[in-house]
Amino acid sequence: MIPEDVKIIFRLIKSNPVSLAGLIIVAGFIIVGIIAPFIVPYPEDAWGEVYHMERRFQPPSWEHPFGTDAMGRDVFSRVILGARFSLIIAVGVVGLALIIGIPVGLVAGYVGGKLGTALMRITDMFLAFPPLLLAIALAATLGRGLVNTIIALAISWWPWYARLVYVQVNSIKSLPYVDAARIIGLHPLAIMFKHVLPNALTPVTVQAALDMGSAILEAAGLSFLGVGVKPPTPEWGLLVTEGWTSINIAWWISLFPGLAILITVLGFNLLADAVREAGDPRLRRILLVGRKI
Amino acid sequence: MNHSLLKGASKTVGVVVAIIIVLIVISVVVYLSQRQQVTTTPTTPSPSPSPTTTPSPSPTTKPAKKTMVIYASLSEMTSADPSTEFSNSILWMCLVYEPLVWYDPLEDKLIPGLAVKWESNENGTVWTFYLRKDAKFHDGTPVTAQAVKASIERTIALGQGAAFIWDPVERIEVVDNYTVRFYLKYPAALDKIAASSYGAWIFSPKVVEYAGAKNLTDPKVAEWFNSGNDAGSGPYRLVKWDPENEVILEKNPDWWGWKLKDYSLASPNAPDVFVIKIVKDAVTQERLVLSGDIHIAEYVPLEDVEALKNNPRVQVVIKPSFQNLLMLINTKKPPLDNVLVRRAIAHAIPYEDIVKVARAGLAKVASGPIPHGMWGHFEDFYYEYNLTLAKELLAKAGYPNGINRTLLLVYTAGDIYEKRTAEIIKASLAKIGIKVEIRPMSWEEQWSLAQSGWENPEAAQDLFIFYWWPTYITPFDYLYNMFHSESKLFNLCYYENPEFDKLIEEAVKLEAINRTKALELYYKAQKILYEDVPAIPLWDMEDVRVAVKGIGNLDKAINPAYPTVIFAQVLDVSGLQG
Amino acid sequence: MPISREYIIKRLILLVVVVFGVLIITFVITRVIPARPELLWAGAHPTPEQLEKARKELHLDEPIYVQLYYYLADFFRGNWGVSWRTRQPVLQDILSALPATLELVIVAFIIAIALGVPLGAIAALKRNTWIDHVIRIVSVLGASVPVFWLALILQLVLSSWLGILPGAKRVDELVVYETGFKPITGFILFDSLIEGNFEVFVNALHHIILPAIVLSFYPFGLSARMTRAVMTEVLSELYTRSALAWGLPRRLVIYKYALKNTLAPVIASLGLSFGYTIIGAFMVELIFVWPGIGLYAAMALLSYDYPAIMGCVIVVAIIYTVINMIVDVVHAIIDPRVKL
Repeated sequence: MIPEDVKIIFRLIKSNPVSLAGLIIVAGFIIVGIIAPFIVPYPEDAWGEVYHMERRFQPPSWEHPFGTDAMGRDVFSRVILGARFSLIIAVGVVGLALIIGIPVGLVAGYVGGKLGTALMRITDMFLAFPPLLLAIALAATLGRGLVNTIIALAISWWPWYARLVYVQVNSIKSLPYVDAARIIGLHPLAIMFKHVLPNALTPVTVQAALDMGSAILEAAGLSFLGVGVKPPTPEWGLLVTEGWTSINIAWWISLFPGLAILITVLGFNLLADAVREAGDPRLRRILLVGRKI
Repeated sequence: MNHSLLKGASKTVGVVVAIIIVLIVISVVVYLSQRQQVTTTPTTPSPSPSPTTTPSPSPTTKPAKKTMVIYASLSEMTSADPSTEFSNSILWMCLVYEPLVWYDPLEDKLIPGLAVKWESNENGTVWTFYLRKDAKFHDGTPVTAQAVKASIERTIALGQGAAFIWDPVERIEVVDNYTVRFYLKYPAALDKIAASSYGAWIFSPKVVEYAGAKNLTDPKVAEWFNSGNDAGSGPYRLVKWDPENEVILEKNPDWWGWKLKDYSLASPNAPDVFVIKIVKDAVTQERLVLSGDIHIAEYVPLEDVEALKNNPRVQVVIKPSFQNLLMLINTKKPPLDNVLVRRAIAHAIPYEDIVKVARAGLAKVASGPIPHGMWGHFEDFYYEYNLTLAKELLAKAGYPNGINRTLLLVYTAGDIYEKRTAEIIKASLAKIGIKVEIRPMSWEEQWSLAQSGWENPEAAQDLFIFYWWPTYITPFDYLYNMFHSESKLFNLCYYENPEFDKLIEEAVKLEAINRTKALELYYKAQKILYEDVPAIPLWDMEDVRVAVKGIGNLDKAINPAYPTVIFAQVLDVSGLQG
Repeated sequence: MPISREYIIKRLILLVVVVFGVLIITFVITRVIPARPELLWAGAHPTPEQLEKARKELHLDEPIYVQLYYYLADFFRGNWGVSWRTRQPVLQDILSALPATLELVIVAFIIAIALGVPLGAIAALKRNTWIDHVIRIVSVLGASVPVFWLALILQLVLSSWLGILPGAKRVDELVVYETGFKPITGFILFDSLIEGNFEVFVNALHHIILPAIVLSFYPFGLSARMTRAVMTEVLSELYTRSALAWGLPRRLVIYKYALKNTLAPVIASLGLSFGYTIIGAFMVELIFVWPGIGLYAAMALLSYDYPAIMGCVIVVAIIYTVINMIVDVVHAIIDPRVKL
């Protein structure tokens, strides 16, 4: 994509209140994720280092907007700090998947031939697993933990990016300017990195940024199934799971972290929706002309 | 868009239907292939014409109004072989099979089972059991001394599960049809052993015939059991065996116990059908018992128990259980090899808080490794929660500013009680300058890490949160397994103390013949543990069962010696509507 | 229909290749990645002998390609290992759990499509009005909501607080027992209907609603979004506009031309969301005590029952592959532009 497309995306987002809401949510999530440790009202509660006998299972109040849990800890603080871990997971998964996926797609697309076919066949095999299933298998093998969760998710994730890069590279490499570079006698590696890759990169990174929502959602699913991050890490999925046993008397322990996941992922997905619409040439035309059916 | 598309569209509906049909066909095939395996007794391809395999009133023919009690179990059933089963199937085996004697640990009293009376010689090495003459297995064959001998010998020969309880037995003699005698290698309380919750079931020797096996130890016999057949003599028989979802038991009208006037393990209004339904989550169990969809819940969220007590629709029964939670300390790894450090830790744990938070108050703070309510328990072994004292002890040990290393505490992942306990311990030890990392692990990981501690204590965990419950009711079970130097499997404190070992070895031999002396030795042994602190007993669990109001006698149907079991034959369901 | 035998054969060959791929990847995960695979297979409290036995059974002392051969051979022989938890052969466990899950997933899809297609169509017709925005948010919500959280909350509200729907189980034992219901295929709804056992049918239907609604969220959102996208496209197509210009009644145009075109994307969304839905079933079944493969897998995960976990992974991956193949073929039948 070229900057003009980005402009179109922003125009579309601005014109549509729903997409705008998505943008605001995502921005808010990223900001909270970064500054979380500095703004939590009860840092010790958030990290799970203390317990309070005197205020267990308190319903939401001004002092504890999301109530308190079985150990008397402030749920609000834990949810806020949870944003930090969700951000780490999201960036980690998508980043690692890009690191694996881009080279595979690039090589497969640019070099082509038998190597390319082989690489893409391997990619396809990974894609034969439903989302999350491969991550479950890997997480069960690697064991619980933040890093293992990221690795497991990234390994089930990279094939999508490999495919995307592959398609992009394939369409770019036959463009006249690449041919020109080849005729001039530039080194294939130089062509690959200087001319093909940058142009193939934009759609992949945009896609990856928008996929962060799904990464958060899937990490939460892994936590619920007992193969995600370890307690007492305040990851949102884990917080929901922790509240399960006392849901009949203290619904707030599970409700709020779940809402946090829902809202954050919704934000990413609304943005993704907007971008998808912008990417559709026909819709873009409608948008540019400003006509409605 | 292409116009041929429109033509294709109408076909699409057909295609969707086709997919569904394909799925159904697949599942029919699947079903047919599984049919031989998941067994409801009537369809079992059993070679025998035994009554076990014909369900009395076939449900298909007659929808009779029967009384049914549904008991929700948290864990699925395991095996169905009475000789080797050593896990959750206790839940129904106690109703389908019978031992020679039952044990009521709260009264410390034995109750006749298949044996009406029993006696031993003076030094407890020869035991004679006299069987009741009207007991019959579900296949109609009488329960005889030969059957008892064959059953126990099979258990011993297979050597799995709880077979070790029979270790003292040298040989079994059939004196006559209804008298059986055990000769022991060393003195032991064989009456208590015979009342064990595992490995002590008596079954019909005809299983060899039914299974088409050569002899009792032929794997075919186990196969026959595990495909959902029973060969017991108890008040109920197994009619449906779907271990992951439900197990259905039907009343055995011929059971001898129904005919006795005042047998404490029988009720005239026992349910006709007893269903064990696997419901793997406490929250759901609570919901189901409140809506009346199940009658008895094995577990409900403990926080909800107070509210349930005041709910007019249900009753709550709380009983002691012999399961307790301990924190095993790695006594070979510095600085925990220093007894003063261990004592400091023992005094820095807020026991009352743990019981309140982790178990919602439904446990007793432990006093020694032998739980409350069991013989051999003494009230002298509480540690006082006293941070000043703990700090003093730590200073005396040479750590006035706390320990410079982070201790590793491991617990079983997924266990919310252990998790909360671990978090409180971490928070409390921080107050005396001991940093703790808590790590949830799968039981396998946890246990193999702990196993490595015997060879290399440095590499193993520091603290290990650990449940124990006995196979049969004796203090020896706890003291030997967790603290004897030869018990490499479960002595995960790596504790070695010859004096302690000797005390409990002597005590166990005196159990049957001189209880007072045995108690005295057990007291001494526990005193040593109290001083040495190889482990810190945290709490003794209390069991909570919640049932709908109409279920009578629930209290009597629960016996801590047979954990998780509801003795359905004792229940009174006359108050149950619908 | 323009679908050739070669096409089908090509797809079948591809299917076989993909299944092998799935097996090789699971082989790598289970045998190559772990430092000591036998520890994962020997079960709790392994003795040295058991570990040795596990090493032998897994052929761990042989070269890797020999291990792979045995792995594949065991797979095709149906020898998938024994679950530690249930002590039953894994394959048998999985097969007996499958109908319950398929029934749940099918009902969830029916709900999803019955709601998703009309709402998507409405959104496209009322593009950029508030109705469109609401429907769009709701459909995006379907892909954003953590399914286990939704299950917990709906269970709490609808079952515990309001008492409208049963919160767990598949059917009441008492009804089954009293009516003498015997399942034939394992699909309780289907079986009770053909047996004419309406008591069980109604009871089972009552029980399936809540978990099916939870599971339908994702496919609902997807089918609504795809319908909306396709409808928008179709409505903007020239011929539609000309049809409008020619004065055909608007409603007729919509039904005749537009709505029929949505069938292709609906089929595609079925395929796309199947994988997600069946993983969602892992969590939903755990919460609703639904005795399917999801519950089995979730319990296996929570108790680290390794053979069972890997069995479920393979089965689910294969079902997913097969469904996707069927969807592709159907798609090709409907839409001749799709060619492989």
